[in-house]
Amino acid sequence: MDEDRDGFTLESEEPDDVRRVLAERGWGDGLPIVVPTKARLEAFLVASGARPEALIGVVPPRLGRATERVVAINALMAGCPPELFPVVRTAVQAMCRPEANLAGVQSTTGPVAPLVIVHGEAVERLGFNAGQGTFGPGWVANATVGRALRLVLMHVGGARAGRSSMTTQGQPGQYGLCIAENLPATPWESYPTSLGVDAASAVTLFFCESLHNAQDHTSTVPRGVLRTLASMAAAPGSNATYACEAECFVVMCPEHARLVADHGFSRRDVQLYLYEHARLPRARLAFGGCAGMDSWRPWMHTDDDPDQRLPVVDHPDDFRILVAGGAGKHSAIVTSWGPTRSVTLPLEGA
Amino acid sequence: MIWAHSPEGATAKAAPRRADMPDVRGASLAIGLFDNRKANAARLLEDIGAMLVERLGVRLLRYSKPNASHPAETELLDRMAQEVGLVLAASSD
Repeated sequence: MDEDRDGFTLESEEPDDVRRVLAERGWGDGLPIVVPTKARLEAFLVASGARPEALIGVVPPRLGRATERVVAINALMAGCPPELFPVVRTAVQAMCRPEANLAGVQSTTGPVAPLVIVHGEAVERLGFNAGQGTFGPGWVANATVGRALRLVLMHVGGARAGRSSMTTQGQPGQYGLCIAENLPATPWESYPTSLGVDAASAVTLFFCESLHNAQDHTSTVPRGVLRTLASMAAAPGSNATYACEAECFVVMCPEHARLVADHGFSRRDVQLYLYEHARLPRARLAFGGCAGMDSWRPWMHTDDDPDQRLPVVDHPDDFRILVAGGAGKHSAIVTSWGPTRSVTLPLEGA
Repeated sequence: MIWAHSPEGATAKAAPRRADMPDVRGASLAIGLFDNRKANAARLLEDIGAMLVERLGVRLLRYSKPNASHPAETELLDRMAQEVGLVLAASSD
């Protein structure tokens, strides 16, 4: 094969040829890609406003330099339209922040995936689906932004299962996981505003386990819905339960959010309720899971009462409440991989 | 033929490698056992360490991280680099 360090050659763009080259190099996620030819990349860089040499971050374990140029190449391969590049760039910037613990994420045996959440006016303008089926397929923006992140982790970061990524089973979200906050259906202030991020649009990046559906079709008062959510959040088998850094995203459907808000619950009230009710007895946590490997605060080790109910996150703020999805009564509990923190950054250049 | 861009890009500069491998025999060599705090890592390291002491007469120093999921702190890596000539790391579930 005729190649140099910075490129590769193909006989043609026929699917068989592209698959063969990707397989030889250990690239790709198994799905067809857009071949990043010179002409396509030049057009993408111009249209996206990317600054090719600007360094966004360094991606372990390969310690690949995630310049805007190489991130653009991966976004292009993922099928990402150039106007979405600022979202991908911001998500890469977020995942390279120290609190995200990317080295751990990239090498863990856990089934961790980057969840991208888009907020603000960019949601509608760039075509993200914040409504019906927000976690699911069918929208170019959600699908390709999520996929672009995965390709960056695989190519720039070198995370390939069985080599540097030791993920035991993986999860479907590793193909790409991108949703959008449904602000028109949110009865509270926007999620970024609640964190003090003052921007017209923003991007959240959160390294998560597989999401858990929390359906409640029958409750007519907040405690029913909130206890259902709490029951799904309190899982002894979750890595997050044993990590003091863990967060739990509670992605409420509009109808669940409206029900609790109509009864006077603020976002803070929801957080406090879940902190009090999403708990597990000490005796249960002492068996299996990550018993003995926890990173809990000292107070959680002090008492020896086996019936004491311990919270699954360190602080009420660690329940991250936002609204996404459409009609129906299904919310989602998205627990973190564990020792990682979400990052929310203003979206610039979009 | 079609030419296309690599999606990997360049890597950041890696830590320098020592040009010489240390002599692995005798008590002059200190070997670090680095426990990543997975459930069986220490057991694996201790068994290997015992064999190295018996066969080569090396000295062992032990290190560990606070928990399995975080990378080692720079200070710890620097300390190991100062104190031992070789580090064995184990990750064992």
